[in-house]
Amino acid sequence: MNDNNPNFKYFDTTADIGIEVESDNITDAFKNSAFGTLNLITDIEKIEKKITKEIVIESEDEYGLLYDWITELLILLDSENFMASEYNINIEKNSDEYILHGKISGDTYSTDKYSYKTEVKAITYHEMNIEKKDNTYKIKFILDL
Amino acid sequence: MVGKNDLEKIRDGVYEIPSSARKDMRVPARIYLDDESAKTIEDTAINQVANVACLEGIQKRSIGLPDIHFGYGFSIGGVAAFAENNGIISPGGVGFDINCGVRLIKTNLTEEDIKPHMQELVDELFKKIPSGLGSNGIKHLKESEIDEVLLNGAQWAIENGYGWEEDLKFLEENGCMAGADPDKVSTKAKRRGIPQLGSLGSGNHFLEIQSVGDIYDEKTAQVYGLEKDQVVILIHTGSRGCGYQICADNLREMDKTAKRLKMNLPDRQLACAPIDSDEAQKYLQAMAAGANYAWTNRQMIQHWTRETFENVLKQDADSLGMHVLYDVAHNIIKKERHQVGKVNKTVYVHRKGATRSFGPGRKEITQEYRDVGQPVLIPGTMGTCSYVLAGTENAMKETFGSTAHGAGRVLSRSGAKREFSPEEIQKQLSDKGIILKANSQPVIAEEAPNAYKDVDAVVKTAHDAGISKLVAQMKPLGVIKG
Repeated sequence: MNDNNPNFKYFDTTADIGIEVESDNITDAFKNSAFGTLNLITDIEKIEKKITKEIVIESEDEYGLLYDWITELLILLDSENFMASEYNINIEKNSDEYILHGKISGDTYSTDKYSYKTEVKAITYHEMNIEKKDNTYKIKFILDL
Repeated sequence: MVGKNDLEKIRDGVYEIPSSARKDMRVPARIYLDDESAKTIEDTAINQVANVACLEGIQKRSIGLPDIHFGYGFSIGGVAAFAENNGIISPGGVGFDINCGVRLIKTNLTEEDIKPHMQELVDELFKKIPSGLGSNGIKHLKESEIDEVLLNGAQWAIENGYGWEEDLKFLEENGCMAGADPDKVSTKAKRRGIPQLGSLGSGNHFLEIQSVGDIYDEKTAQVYGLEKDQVVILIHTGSRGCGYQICADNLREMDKTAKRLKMNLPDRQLACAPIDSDEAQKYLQAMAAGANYAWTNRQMIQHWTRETFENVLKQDADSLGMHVLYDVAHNIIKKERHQVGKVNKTVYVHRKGATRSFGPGRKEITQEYRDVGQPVLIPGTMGTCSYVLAGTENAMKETFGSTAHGAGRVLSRSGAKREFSPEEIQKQLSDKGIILKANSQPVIAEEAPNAYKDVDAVVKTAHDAGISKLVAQMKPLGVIKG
């Protein structure tokens, strides 16, 4: 798939919503997870790429890294009204940790300019699953809305 | 896994799963349900009440309330108390929105008085009170001020001109939970919290102008200062991104701890730590700070509500009788004394989607209401009734002084969007004479009244089972939604 071409599916839970992605590699799977999350809040493809930010996240495993990555995007939204729609990131594995680093681009959210769908409170560990099978990475997680 | 087939009826409205149903259950799981709900309840929610019954140091029973539905780790509409000496603390037993809660403000207006001003009031409240996405508070906190908010709660708001000193008397914990430590709140949580202080948020949060309908208990209604046709205002919101992040940070920490200690938990979201551990103490101090943020938030929104009423009705808030009836927390852990068997014990009561329902005489209840039990505020959903109930002696005996908190969701958000259109919902409400103003069209459909369990049935079950008693019903007149 193309680097920044969103590819994700939503699934229903009673109170909230889940996201499933299937990508060629872990980096694309993480990008799609981010697209899926922010697309619940607004039409993410419409967010212009005006501001670029550096990002570095270190976690002990892939699950922790996904949790921290999605959380970081929600923090940027709440604290700076920043909504990222392009992720030029890489994920590397060292001996005892995973590092996600790179640049994310987007715009300051404003109701005059962009649509508003719903609020995302947090990512949960509930039924979170990261699976590498043959040449695909499958990620599944649920967000608390 | 246990489910509805394992429920044994104890008496009308009360079902139990005995601790023998699963090898790992330490105590029974008790769920308050009417017969109809007992047939339709999700098995996953029942199993969650049973999972909580497996945790170290749990006292008496794990409890599900009439509005129970599936949550993460702990169900929503759940209560569990853990002994001070050997129990645990779990952030999942509170949830992301720490001290999500409800405040009810009285007025001396009647429905007839307010009718001609309703549209203007709703428009002005919508303009004045920040809501929806990126809803930043009007007050822009300095970084140094957030610590004072986290430490002092509603007291900070009063000192900064958002309200009256007397308001504090009518808030649970007087709007400031002891033991809060701002240093235990991460910079990330503070960053999320700073711009959002004094904002309603989105989702199921709302502000509603209501009128009192049926009164079920005249004597208690009189003590609370409620009468038929009286206009009241209900504010439903919590600790915004600050609380979500405090929960996320601590769940993450405790997940690491659980992994390190190789704890055998039935569900990863039940991550917890022994009460006397550093992890648990750090969470409790941060949670108290998050709770204080929420009380400050509701205090500020109340202040702007008073200002808006003053501007529209050209009368001051005092002469409009805009006093606080009460303010309750729905998601919180409290250190309380309860009778367990023959012993009066200190326990940590986890209430997730549950309201404290202390009966007459408890010293935690403000003097004004102590003889009749504390007010229990149960909000409905958009367009449905809300209720005031009173805490009972029976709740002290059975549920660690707790009752339901609202209507539980029964239809998924996308299901609701498939079944209802925002225009249709808006029309339904306007046919009933209810004015609705919302930021998001999809949220109107997601929050459709039929996406939730019937709140009338929830309060009836809570009343019939004796874990709170009905005092008054409120009908919606105007709703502001995020």
